[in-house]
Amino acid sequence: MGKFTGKNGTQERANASKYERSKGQFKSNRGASGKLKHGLKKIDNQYKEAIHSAAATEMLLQEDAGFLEAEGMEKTYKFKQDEIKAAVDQTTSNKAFDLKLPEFGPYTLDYSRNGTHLLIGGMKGHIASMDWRKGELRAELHLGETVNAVKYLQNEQFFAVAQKKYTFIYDHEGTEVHRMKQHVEVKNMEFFPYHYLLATSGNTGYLKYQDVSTGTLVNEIKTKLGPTQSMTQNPWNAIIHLGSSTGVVSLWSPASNEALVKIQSCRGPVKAVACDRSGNYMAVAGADKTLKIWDIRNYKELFSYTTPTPASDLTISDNGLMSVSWGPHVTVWKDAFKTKQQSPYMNHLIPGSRIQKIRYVPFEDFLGVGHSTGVSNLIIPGSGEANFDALEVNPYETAKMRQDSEVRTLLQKLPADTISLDPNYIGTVDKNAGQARLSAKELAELKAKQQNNEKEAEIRPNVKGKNSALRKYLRKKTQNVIDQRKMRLEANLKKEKELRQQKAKRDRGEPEEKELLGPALARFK
Amino acid sequence: MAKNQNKAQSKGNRKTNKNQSKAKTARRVLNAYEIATRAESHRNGGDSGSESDDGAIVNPMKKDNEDAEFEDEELDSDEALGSDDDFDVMSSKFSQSIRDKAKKLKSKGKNKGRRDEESEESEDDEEEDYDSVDEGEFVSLTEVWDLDDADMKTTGGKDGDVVLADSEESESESDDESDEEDSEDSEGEEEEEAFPFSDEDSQDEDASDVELTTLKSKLSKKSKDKLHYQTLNIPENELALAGGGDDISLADMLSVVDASASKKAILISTDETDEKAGKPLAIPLPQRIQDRNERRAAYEITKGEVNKWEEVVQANRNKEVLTFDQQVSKHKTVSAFSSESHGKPFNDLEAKINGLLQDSSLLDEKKESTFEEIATAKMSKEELAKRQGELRKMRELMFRQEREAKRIKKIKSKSYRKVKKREMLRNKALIEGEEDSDPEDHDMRRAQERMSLKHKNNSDWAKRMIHSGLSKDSEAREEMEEMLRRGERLRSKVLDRDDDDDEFGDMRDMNIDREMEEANEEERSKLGKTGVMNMAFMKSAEAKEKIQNEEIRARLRKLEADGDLADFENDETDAVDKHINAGRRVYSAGAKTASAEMAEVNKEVREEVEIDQSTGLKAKLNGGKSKSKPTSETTEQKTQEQQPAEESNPWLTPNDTPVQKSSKLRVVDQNSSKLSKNQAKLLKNQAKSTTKSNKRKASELSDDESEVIDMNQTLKIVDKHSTSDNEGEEVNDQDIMLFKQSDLLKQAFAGDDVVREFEMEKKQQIKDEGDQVEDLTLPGWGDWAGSSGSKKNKKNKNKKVKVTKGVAFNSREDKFKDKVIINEKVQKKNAKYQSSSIPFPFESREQYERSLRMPIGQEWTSRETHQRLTMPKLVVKSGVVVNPLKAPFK
Repeated sequence: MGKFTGKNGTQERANASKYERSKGQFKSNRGASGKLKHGLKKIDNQYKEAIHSAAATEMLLQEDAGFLEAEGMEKTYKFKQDEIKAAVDQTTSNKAFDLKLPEFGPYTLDYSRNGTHLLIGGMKGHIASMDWRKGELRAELHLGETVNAVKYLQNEQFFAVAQKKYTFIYDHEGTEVHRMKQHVEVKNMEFFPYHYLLATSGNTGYLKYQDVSTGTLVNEIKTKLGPTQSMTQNPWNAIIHLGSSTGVVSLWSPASNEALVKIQSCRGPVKAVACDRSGNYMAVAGADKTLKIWDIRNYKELFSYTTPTPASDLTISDNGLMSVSWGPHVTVWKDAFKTKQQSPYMNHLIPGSRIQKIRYVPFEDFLGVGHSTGVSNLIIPGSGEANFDALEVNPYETAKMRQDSEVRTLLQKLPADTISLDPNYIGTVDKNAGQARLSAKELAELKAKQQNNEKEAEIRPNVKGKNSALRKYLRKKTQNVIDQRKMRLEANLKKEKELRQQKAKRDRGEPEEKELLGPALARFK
Repeated sequence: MAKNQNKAQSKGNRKTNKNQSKAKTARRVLNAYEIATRAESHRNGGDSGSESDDGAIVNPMKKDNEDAEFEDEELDSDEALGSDDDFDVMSSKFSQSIRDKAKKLKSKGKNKGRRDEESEESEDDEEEDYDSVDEGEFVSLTEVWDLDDADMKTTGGKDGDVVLADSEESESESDDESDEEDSEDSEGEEEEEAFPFSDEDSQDEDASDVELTTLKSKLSKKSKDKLHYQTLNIPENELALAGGGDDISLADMLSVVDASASKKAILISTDETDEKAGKPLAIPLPQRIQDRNERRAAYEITKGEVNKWEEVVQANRNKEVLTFDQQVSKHKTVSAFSSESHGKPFNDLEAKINGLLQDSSLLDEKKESTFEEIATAKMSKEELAKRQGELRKMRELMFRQEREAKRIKKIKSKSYRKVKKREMLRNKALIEGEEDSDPEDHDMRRAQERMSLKHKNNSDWAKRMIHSGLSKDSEAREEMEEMLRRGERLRSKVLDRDDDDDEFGDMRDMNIDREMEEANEEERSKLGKTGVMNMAFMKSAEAKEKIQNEEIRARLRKLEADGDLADFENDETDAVDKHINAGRRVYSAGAKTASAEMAEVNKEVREEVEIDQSTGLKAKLNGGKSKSKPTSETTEQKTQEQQPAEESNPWLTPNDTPVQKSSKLRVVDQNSSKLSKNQAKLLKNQAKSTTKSNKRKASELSDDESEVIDMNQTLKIVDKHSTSDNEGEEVNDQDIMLFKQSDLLKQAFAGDDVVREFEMEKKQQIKDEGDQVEDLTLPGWGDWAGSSGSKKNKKNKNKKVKVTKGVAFNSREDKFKDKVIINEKVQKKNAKYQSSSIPFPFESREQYERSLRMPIGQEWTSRETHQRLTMPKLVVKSGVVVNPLKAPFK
């Protein structure tokens, strides 16, 4: 076990450091005094207790990710899918399906967030949404139009298809729901489940954000980097990574019209980009056959690999297995971000076909591969997250649960402009604000200054004030003093007001009111 | 009065003898005064015959040497007034003037000192005039004067009333002093008093003023003298007292005054030291300041009062959650079903009863319920038949008795009833014991008996009996005697037990009770039981039970007493159930197993005791070891057996490295093929080129070179698995090819110089995001008369530059990152989710952000943390009475 922390006789849990936040950033509450010091101490204690109890919850994560283990002279990358299939249990082997669809390939694919549904899109216009575990087909479409990309939205009920010109949204039965005419010639699509945003990019070089809950186009950004070759999202901070044809990977958020970061990763076009779940690492595969691993916390290149032929797609699983597809091959790399690997974890060859798209199945140990002759699921042991949070994403959810979670996520939807490189910036102090709190006096001064500036900037119309001499006299005259002159003046004012109103009415073209009462009675009005 | 005098005197006397006790001085003053008055009257009589018998204390010295007296008087009365401050002078109207004086006096401390000496001299002079008396006992007359002043001021002389009215006329002009003088004049006897006082008050005024006042006072004195005499000569009548001067003296007045009365006067503090008393009272502060002080004091007090709660309040404030959700329930509801009512006795009485019940083994419910079954189960056929017969008989008997009772119930004879009742009562008395259980009841009956005297041969019946001579009849007599006895018994008081020997009494009572019980038992057994209980088998059962109880009790006692395990000691419990019936052996099937169980229980108990007794840890450990040892040994053996097997497994040792080595190391010798030689050459060339490139400055080219090498190495590995079984030659072949490919690749991308473009872009961005300089100079401004001066001059002149601050190159994040451009612009859309300044309680950004560190949402924390952090500060359960804070013990 861990060591004694001393206070309350509690023991520090061994895995507590895993749950610490911004470790080392905050060290002492030096300078604080009295009440504040007490408050800070309380906060620190709360923090410690929170970590303590968070570390304790790890006990609930019963499942463990198991990887392939080679014995003796065996190598894990030498295991064939058939061998693995033969060794694993029946359900798993059943899940490792192979769809032979030679007509409409090459196929692109996407899995729903909870991994229950698979959406495949053949280049030649074949779209199918299915519950792949049960083998139930939800929708099948033949569009008769080029399909560039497919994407499930918040759940399997809706999916977006990037077709030859426009992008469409279909529902679970394959009914066309929307045609998004702003999204033209889209090649890549990403969906942000917490922001309900659909991001598209393609040949136009525009990056567009569409809010699928309200239907508004949140932002369209001209990247100025030519046609976009590849795109991915960083699941940690919802930043879009675009790969351009000049080998530059650029990072974008809907809150800014300029790229937040640009990274020159390779010399040729960027064929594929992928980010890991923690948002710490990025893999970039270029047309110059390089595969580079970047640490995107400090934008440093960690490792560089080369692929025999330019990679066609890249993806990183929840457990950090990176797979690369090149030609008919798929290679899976384990611990690719920690050390430079000498050999891959697994590899697979689909002879006679070109791999178009690879995606890991969430919460399953499978890798979906879309290639020119169909779609197949490969067993990659240890790739999926073993412990799912059913309150977050539930692979076994019922229809009711799905509906509830949809409502919940809609209620908790984050505004698009909260997306930033550092998602923890919300609530923090502006960098320009200074390190110390301003006193009331200083604040007042600042405010006065600001107001002064505003006043100067303000352009006031040159209009006559309402303060006439008559009013002034009346104002100066005390209220309760009523003499002949005041009465006369008041009567005059009233008359004047009436006349003005009448004039205004006349100007507006309204008919004048007829006097209902005769001149004799009108005085009593 | 005596006290006043005392005080005044002591103040006057202060200069000379401070240490003398007050009583003594008082006496002396009196003495001195008497002597003085006597001498005075004597002299007056001599000097002015007509005035001789006015009796007023007129100081002749004033007349004789007025100058000296003046000085004297002024000072001493000054003193006197000073002393008077202690009385309620301050509250009087002229306190202001006195205060002024006091101030002046202070300022002229020196002067005063001198005057004091003078006055003493004069005193000496005066003393010479008196008859020779023991001088030690005297006090200077001036002091006495002062004393008188003080006295009179407080008391307000009665006889001066008339004079007072007069003096008003003469002295009403001087506003300030008039009051003072009034009081002074009121002393009556001393006409001259007015003079020194008036003078005194005006002493610091102009000399002319002084003269004027003296003149005035002289005038007034004369007139006063006249009046004085007139008034005093009036004979005694109902309106005025006789002016007999010698009739009343100060001494007389003083003698009247009760000493104890003066003590009660609150305003006069007797025990004040002379020094303190000598000082004037402090000037009362203005009302508002006084109020302020009072408020302050009150505040202090309330603060102290309130501070008692401080800790409690503070503790409550520091609590994360203040909960009021529990109603303090002091009374636990005890129901028949609650386990508690079964578990623990509620009070002493219950405990006692419980104990008794357990002692007599009546509480064993199980036994009760199963008794019948067991009894029937164990019986043989004949026995069962017999028992049934008994039961039948019993039922029959009961039925008969019932009928008998019915019949008896129907009897209407009064005498029978009477006899029956008496018998019943007697029986009852016997059963209940002699005394009535309820003393209250007895009291009641006793009271009734005493009031009525029903049983004292007073009744009509008794009288008649006596009268008719029936008392001689033995039966009647007996009856009467019985009646008397009963009366006696009723009238006798209930024995009150003494509180002191309560315990002993109890004990004794208990002993006695037991004896009595035993004695009565037999009788009772005869009496109370009828029917079933009276039958033989019930009796025998009861007896048996009793014996059993006794036995158990004795055994328990024994166990308690010496705690020995004799009972548990003998393992060999024979297969005989002795418990069922003493003295009789019953062999049954269950007995054997029961005995075995017993043996087990015994063994357990012994073991437990053993463990308890082995107090040392060592002993325990030893005991544990001896048991656990064999198992551990066996496991060790097992592991030993396993280990060699594991070690010897050759399949488990990782032998990747040699394989890799073989792939990397290539030995090129003459035997090797051409290709391998070629490859070696190429590698050499590569190495050379890399060294060269290293020598060159770092540039993209060198980078590319190294990349190529990198590629080579990695590719090798990639190849190894992609093609299942490669031979050396093939690998080499591919290597060369690949090298060529990479070269080609480089050539392919040579056209679009993306890297340079990127660098340019970065430069541009750095420039864009850096300081922006805007030239606001108006061209031609100030050059109306043509450009003048040198070029340099012209440049600086009229130059107007606006600089917009940007991000300097050195503060850029991507300063050392060639391949990265980081946008340094502020994202305005993001800024709205940030705080523009550090929120209040925090002093620095670090502190604030530390507080944001741990999210409270349940997605990020454990449920427990989430609930604790989102708990409301105050939790009040509805319906719970929230009591006010209780003050801690302080």
